[in-house]
Amino acid sequence: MRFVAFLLTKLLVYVLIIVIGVTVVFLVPRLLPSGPVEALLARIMAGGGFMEPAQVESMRVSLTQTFGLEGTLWEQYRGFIERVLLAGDFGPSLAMFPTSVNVLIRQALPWTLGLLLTATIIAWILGNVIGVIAGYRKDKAFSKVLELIAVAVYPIPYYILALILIILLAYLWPVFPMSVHVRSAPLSLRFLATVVHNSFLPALSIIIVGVGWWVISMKALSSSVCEEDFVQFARLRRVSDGTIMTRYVARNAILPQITALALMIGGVFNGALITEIIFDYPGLGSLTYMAVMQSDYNLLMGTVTLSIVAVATATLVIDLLYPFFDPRIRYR
Amino acid sequence: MLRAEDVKAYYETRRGPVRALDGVSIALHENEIVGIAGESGCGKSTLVKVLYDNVASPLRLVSGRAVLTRAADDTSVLAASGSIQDRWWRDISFVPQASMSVLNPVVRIGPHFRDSADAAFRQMGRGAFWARVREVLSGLRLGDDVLSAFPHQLSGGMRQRVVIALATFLDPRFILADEPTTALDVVTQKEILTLLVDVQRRMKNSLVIVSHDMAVHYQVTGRLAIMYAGKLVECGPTSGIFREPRHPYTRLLIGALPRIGQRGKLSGISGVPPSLLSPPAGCRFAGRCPNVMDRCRSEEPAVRSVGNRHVVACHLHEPVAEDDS
Amino acid sequence: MRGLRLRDAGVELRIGVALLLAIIILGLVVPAFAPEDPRRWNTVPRNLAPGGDYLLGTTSQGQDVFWLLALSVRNSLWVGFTVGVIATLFGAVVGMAAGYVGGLPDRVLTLLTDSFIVIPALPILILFSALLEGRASLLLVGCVLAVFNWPRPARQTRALVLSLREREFMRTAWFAGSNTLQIIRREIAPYLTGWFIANFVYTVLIAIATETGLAVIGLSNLQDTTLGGMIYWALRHQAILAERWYWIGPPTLVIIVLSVALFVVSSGLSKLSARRRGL
Repeated sequence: MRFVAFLLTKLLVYVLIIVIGVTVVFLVPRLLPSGPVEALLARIMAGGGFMEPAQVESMRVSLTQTFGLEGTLWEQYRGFIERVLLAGDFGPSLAMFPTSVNVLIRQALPWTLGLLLTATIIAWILGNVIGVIAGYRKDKAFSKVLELIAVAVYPIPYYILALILIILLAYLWPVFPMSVHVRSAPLSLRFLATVVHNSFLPALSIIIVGVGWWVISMKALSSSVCEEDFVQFARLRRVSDGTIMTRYVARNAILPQITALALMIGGVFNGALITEIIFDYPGLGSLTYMAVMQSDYNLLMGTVTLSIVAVATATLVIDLLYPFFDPRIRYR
Repeated sequence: MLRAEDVKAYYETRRGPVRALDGVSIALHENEIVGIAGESGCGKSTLVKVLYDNVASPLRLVSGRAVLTRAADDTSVLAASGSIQDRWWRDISFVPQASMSVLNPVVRIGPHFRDSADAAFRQMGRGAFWARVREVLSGLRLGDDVLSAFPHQLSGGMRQRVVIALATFLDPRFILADEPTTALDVVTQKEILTLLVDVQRRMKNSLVIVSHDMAVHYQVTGRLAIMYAGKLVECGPTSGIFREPRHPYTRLLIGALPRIGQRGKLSGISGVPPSLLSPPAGCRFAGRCPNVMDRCRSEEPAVRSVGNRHVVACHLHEPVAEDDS
Repeated sequence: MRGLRLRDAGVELRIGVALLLAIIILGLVVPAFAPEDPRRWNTVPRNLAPGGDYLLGTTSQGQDVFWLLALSVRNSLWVGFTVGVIATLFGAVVGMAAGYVGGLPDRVLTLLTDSFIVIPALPILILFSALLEGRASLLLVGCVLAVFNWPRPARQTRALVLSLREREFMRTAWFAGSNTLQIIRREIAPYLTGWFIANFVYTVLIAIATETGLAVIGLSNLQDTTLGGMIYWALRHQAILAERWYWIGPPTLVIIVLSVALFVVSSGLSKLSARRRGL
């Protein structure tokens, strides 16, 4: 019963967060002075020469309709929620008419998920392992060097780091391609190898920044766990060093890192967007960028809404799994 | 036998060394319960640290030594050479202050036993090892089910009994208990003390109880050492000390205990202990002593025997001046 | 502020502060001495390597890299500062209110904060910039960035206020009859000063990093140059392929040093204030 109550509260918050997020996305373009319709019209007129005022007007009306921009704000909002959130239909893409936004997203999603999940998980594990060792042996020289490297690398803006990686590993010492050259193909070992080879640099950039952060935070967490009574008592009991580090320090210090992972997912998604743009990686980020560049309003709403749902879901899943890691927390 | 010989141990701080132990000697024999008493900051916990060879920065052993002698094979090991540490948990073990957090909150109780005794586990084998753990637990009136419980699922008293089981299941010759009952309520305190005494009687080993609470010492200990400001001021059989305390400080400590049928105010001890950064010359208790004499402020009293294994460090008990006994 | 003295600071923090000061001087003082507007094209010969009359060389548009760099630093700092001030103040007010008042207002504010954390800021920023077509003033870019950067300070402030609220002196103040506003002002705010500054510096870091990201893909203000914008133009004119490292190198290096310095200062300050307060 308590589990049901816990689950219901979490789900309620989850739905609310998505609704609030989507509402912000809905409002932003409508509050700006130049809306997507005008932007698109301006683009068409700049590229396509002369049009009759009446033609322009009818185009404006049809575009307004396609974008779901007719009627009062409230009517638009209701239509938007019904169509997007309840039916999951984002309408046709404008840049790639008549392909639907849903199809485009379905093609791009596996790429982004594959890259993000792999890179995030590798970074999280690697960073926390290094962080625990550095925190447990915080007086050793290698711990200080490791932290110094992490502090020097983590704050570098994502883009700059990716740029340096490209210059180093694709230009000066060209072991990896500058941008991703694979598009969908039937699944085979060779195809997979190409994907991995092509995704290596983008993944590496995500991992480097991620590892930096996890090392810094895990080091701080584990060195404070080392001061706890139960670690001191374990030491006095002659519990072996390895056991203290894993079962006593790491096992306790990892708990806040699980929560932090949930909070970081939003940021990781932002980072992935830039990564994909830089490396021309065929995922949601590039799709979003293309949508922006082509004023493809439906596509943009689709990708942004999807990322909000994805981030909220990942957060929810980690929240629900947390009690399995911390025996003190039972479903409340 | 576990001996501290003229131990000086200082805490290094930015303002200079804090002389937590300033020339303390004490010997603990097999099969006895010894109490160490005194106000907080008198050095009693530091003494336990030195005896257990748990000396780490900022604490520094300046001079003196601690020696552990095993009666069975008459081997000695020295503390501060790190060699007592090899005996941790087999020959000498430790019961920390009762608190929420001495047990790993995310690990069940069972693995705590396993973690503490890798060598013993291999030596005894799985079956014998857990049989021994269960035996010790049932001696402490704990069921097998605690092994699969998490620390937060146990009450404070149960947790402290688990800690005692942890400290005793390898049958060590010496058990050092630092304020083992302080954080517990009165009823649980009594229960834990009784269990500790039971365990000692059965194992015939030696138990050291550090406590600021003179009532605890009266109930449990056979021999009592009283410390003040980094010095040992009196040491002897508990019954003798309570019957006839020699040092004025001991007298005041015992006088501060409530008695059945007592009326009126309890007497406290006025004043505060001296700073251990720059302790005064002479007797350190001189500033608060009701019997203070001129020489107390300049000349440090030596530890002298007053008969019946009873020693005291006080100018009132100069053998030449007068003999109280 | 009285609680924070550089005297107690570690080596890392001192180095961070020194680097930061150097960059601030580069950004705030140096541009005033520029012989002419560094953004203008063809004021100097093109594609000169560093040395001689031009300390860091010249761009292929005929701009002096050194003066352009100084101006870019100023604009990047300005964006960071704007975002830092707005986001930290707003976040702190929300966090304090939520943490101190508690109950329903806390739940609503926390829900709002959590929602904003989940919204991926970058696509929306890109949408903004695209609709404004690179004409947004740096102030506007700063304001938009601030909208997505208040939740973090808000969360932290709330957590801190919650932990402070449980302390003895808070109850004493309450029993002594102080009202909510007085308690926040007199008892909570002074404790949080160190955290505010640390948070502010961190937000400046995030803002500068985000603006750089936007600028590098050509979506920030492109008329006023920032560090990211400078990299954008360098890339647009094939500085990598032409191996004009003196053009793309300096802004990249400055942004790295600036970010690391900001991070070190922020974490150093929060460690310092945590130690002083025993939090």
